[in-house]
This record gives sequence, structure tokens and C-alpha cells, in this order.
Amino acid sequence: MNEEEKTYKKLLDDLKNLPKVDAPKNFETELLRKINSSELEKKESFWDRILTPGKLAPAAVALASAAIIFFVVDINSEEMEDPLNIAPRLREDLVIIESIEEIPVEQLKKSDRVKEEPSILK
Amino acid sequence: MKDRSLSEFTDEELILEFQSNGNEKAFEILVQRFKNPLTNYVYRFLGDYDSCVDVVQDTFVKVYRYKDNYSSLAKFSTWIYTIAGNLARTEYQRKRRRNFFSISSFGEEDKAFDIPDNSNRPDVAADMNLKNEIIQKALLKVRDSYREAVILRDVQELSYEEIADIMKIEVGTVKSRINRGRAELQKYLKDIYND
Repeated sequence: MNEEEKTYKKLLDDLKNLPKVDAPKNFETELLRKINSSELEKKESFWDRILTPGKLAPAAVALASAAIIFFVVDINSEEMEDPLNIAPRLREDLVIIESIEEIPVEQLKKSDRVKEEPSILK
Repeated sequence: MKDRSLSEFTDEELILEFQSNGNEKAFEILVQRFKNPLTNYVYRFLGDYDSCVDVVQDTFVKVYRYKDNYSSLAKFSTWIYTIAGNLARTEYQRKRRRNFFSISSFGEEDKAFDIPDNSNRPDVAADMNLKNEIIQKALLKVRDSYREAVILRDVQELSYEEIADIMKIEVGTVKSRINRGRAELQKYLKDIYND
């Protein structure tokens, strides 16, 4: 007996002498029942449980409904445009000019605006 | 004649017989040999007889179903103790969680782990006295991993090497866990041992 075991001698004796707890008398009967029920569970595989008419029919209906909704009610049919990404529409009545020399002088003289600012024509 | 020879087989020979020939008689002999040691071990770990019987039965169900997982390199007792230990630990944690979340058990932490009334249980040794009850309750207070090691060593009287194989840890770790478990146990039982 080593030092540690001497320290705990009383405790070790008591642990050793604890009454032995036995299995119940019907242990084997219950065990056999459990084994048989576990064998039944084992035989019915995952696919066997899934592929039953009771589970397949609602699944098929749900799948068909999803397909109908996807193809018939096409929620993306209306093209939504982002207004911030749309190029501005060109106005056909406007003429783009790059310098003031391109503007015909007669046309400028006719406008009231030029009359107010004659320095532009100089 | 054949049964007589089977009963002389070692545990390892019996499980091999069950594996290779599907001989259920070999399995029955293993049940006979291990049902009581396992019940004692699991009972000391859980402190609840009904759960303990369920765990031991589930252990044998696993042995039956997964017999091919046993490797002849290991001792059969090591294998079956490992299965029982794993199931017992799971059951203990499940009970502790259930106890924790159970409103009815609020403030009665020890209730779920009370030792059953032996006067109504002829299948449990009848002369469990007060001291044994105190020791059992103290055992349940010891940390799970220490308790398992102490029970395997001091109650089941297995060798350090076997315990190391069962718990899948080094022999040094087994010794240290046993020491710490004993120290904890001694602390909880100081009123008994200081007299």
C-alpha cells in the first residue's frame, strides 16, 4: 500500500465495502424486448420512412404548386428600372453648341436677351 | 455440451463467436457475466437505480447491434465499460439539465439523485446503511471525470491500465484524477473520518 492509499485507508475500505448493486431479475426479458424493438427500427431505414405515400403525396403537391407559382406568376416580369441609373432623355428641340461663335449672329440679335447684354456681340 | 464449452470461453472468445457465427448464446453469457458489475458501476456513477438499469440495457443493445465494431485487439471488458461509461455520462448530463430547467425541482438539487428506498427494492442490496448513503451522496458531488476514475478503481477494483483504456487517457492522468477524486470525497466526508 502506498502513502496515498494509507492517507485514504478508511475511505478506500468503505468504498470497497459498499454494497454491490445487482441488475433486476427481469433484466434479460427487458433487454430482449429492447433489442427486438431496436431491430425493428434498424430494418425501417431512412428512405423507407420518407418514401411512403402519406409523405410523398403532400410533397408532390407542394412541389407542383411551387412550379406553378414560379412559371405562371412571374413576379419579375415587370422590369423595374433604377431611376438613378437611367441616362437622361435627349431633348430634340435643343441644339448643342460648343462655342458662342457657332451661334448665327442674326438669331442672337433677334432675341431679347442679347439686347439687354450687347457686350456679348462685340 | 456446446453451452458448457461456451461458458468456459473467455469474454473475447465469446464476442468473437457472436461476431463470426451470430451465436446468441455467446451474447447471453456475456450479459450474465457483465450485467451486475455494470449495474454497480453505473449506479455508483448516477445514483439512480431506474436510470442505471436503462443505461446498462442500452449498453448491451449497443453491443448487440454494433458487435462488429469490437476489435479483438482490445479487452472486451474495456470496450463494454467504455460504452457504459459514455452512456452513463450522457444520462447524467441529461438529468442534470432536466433538473436545472425543471420548475418542480427548483431548490431541490439532490432530489433527482436520491438513493432509492431499498426497503421497496429487493433487487438492491438490502443492508445499505446510513453511512453508505452518505458516501453515495458524497460521490455524486465529486466532479464527473474524477468520480468515474474513483469508482472504476476503488469500487470496481480495475487496474490503472484498464481505467486508462476505458477513459482513453494516460495512466498518469488516471492516477491524478483518482487522487483528486479521493481528496474531494474525503473533504465531503470529513465529518465521518474526523471522528
